[in-house]
Amino acid sequence: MGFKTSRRNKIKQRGGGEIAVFTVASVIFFIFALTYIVAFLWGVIAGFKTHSDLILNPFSFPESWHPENYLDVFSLLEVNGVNMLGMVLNSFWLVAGGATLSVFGATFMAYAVTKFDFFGKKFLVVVNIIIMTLPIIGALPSRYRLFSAFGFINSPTILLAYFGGFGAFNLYMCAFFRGVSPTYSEAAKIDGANDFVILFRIMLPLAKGILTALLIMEAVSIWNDYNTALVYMPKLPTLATGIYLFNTEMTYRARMDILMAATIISALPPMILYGLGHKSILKNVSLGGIKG
Amino acid sequence: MKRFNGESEEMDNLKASEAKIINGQKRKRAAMKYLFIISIIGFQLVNFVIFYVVQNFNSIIMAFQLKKSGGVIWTFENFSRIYNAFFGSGEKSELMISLTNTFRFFLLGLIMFPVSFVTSYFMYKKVAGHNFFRLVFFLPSILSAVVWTTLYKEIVGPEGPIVKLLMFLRNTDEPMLLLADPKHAIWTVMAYSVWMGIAGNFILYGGALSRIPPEVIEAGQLDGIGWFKEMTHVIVPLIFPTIGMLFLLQLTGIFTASGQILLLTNGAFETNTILFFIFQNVYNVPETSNQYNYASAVGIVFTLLTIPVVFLVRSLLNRIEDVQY
Repeated sequence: MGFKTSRRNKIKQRGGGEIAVFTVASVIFFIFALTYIVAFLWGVIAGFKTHSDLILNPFSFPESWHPENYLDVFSLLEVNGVNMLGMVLNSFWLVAGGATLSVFGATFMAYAVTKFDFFGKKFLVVVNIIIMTLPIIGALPSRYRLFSAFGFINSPTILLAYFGGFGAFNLYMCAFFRGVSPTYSEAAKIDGANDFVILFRIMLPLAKGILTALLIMEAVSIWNDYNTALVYMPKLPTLATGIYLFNTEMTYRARMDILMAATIISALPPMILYGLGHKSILKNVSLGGIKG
Repeated sequence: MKRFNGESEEMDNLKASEAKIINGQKRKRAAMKYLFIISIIGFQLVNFVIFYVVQNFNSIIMAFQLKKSGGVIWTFENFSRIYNAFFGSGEKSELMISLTNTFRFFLLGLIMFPVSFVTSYFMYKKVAGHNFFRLVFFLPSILSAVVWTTLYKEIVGPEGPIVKLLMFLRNTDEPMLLLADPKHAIWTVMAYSVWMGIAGNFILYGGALSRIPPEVIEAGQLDGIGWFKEMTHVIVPLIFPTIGMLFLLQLTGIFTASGQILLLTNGAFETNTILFFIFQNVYNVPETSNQYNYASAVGIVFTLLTIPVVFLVRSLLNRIEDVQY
């Protein structure tokens, strides 16, 4: 007991220099955190103004508050004949389909590579390392022509392109499956379960934590992705793309207030998703090294 | 097992047929296994072949082709155009500006790399207010760049607080165009990257740091090492696989380093980068255009320049032994 307390005391001691460094770090973090919060709150307030008020006095409080802006966006934010509801719908199917396909595509690939011996398995591991570390710069022109040849342009079939098996998710899932003891699948096999039953009834439920974390991360990143829809589905703009296009087309229909309101609304789903899942993400997701 | 005479032949026959059955079962099981594997990874493999192998192979072919007077011809013209853009006489080419800016973003990335690690370390050490920071520092990575750039553009705009402050410091009445003046634009875009990047890899570092056994840290503290030594001599070796991996990804991104060009300046005012240059040659350009071929050639040149870097860094990283814990 005596030893324990003396040990604690020793650990608690921090030199004066150390305290200073930690205080400085804290102050710097606080300044950055404050800029994020103030910028966001400014956006929220800007969404309550009128267009001319926002242009003339961008950084004052509204002359009069216009909460209706946050409802009007749904009809006024329109790009390429798609209004905000349409954009949200496009975002929604792209997020739901894209996140599911890319996470499970990588999960299945990782499961096969870590739990089975088969011809070409080593090759698949090397392919993942190459894909992750060798940057192919500027395959966009070629990709566009391929997408066009497959009829992916302006079509939900683009979701098929999300069903790949490689990348960071593959690494995360390989690390996870390597940590799963083989006794689970052996026990199930003795009970007569086949490979599909083992995968879907045993392995995937075991991976629920990490799968949830990856699905949230991927959902947020697809929700925020303005580039894919901009290039490959301009007639089916997602919300992120729609806001960008609305912004660039502002010259002839200037509604800064609407832009701000839409921007703030678009930020809500990621905030809610992360609010629900951030603990699970910090707990489950870590990137180890890849060697070879 | 003991055998009795006379029975042996019969026994052998029996065994042979048993072996046949077992062999057959084995083969069946192997077939079932491959059937299972193909059914769970087959589609992804097809995807890989089309959208990686074919795509990149096609990219190489496109770089050597041009459409001229109705037909497609094989040519080095795309590459000589690149050569002229860099070494030709005359005004600074757009490609040269793009390369300069790309290097600027890359250097900035190298500076921000340790910064974001140190940030994560201080969060891990539960610096005062860490619970609050942990929540707020998620914001840059979870809200779309569309959101942040919309806000940032107003903040650095002619009426915004930054310009007002700069005007006061320089004692002038003339508002500066931070995003619309070649003198300032690139720095304003880089400032945005710093603003958003301080907690850059905070999620991945957070995951790795939380796995360090607390006894290891306590042991160091019992030996009386300070925070800096603890960070460099204890934490860095322990989470080196993560650091090494992120560093490798950072280096391989040399020629793809890019700020939010599209959203902030759309490449104007000398803010273009290689990646955005290629994007510009595709976006809103008809897919039959020769610009696609030129952009492919640009991509290939810079991919080839990256490959030696990737291999060098990979072999260096492979030499460092991971700490097991």
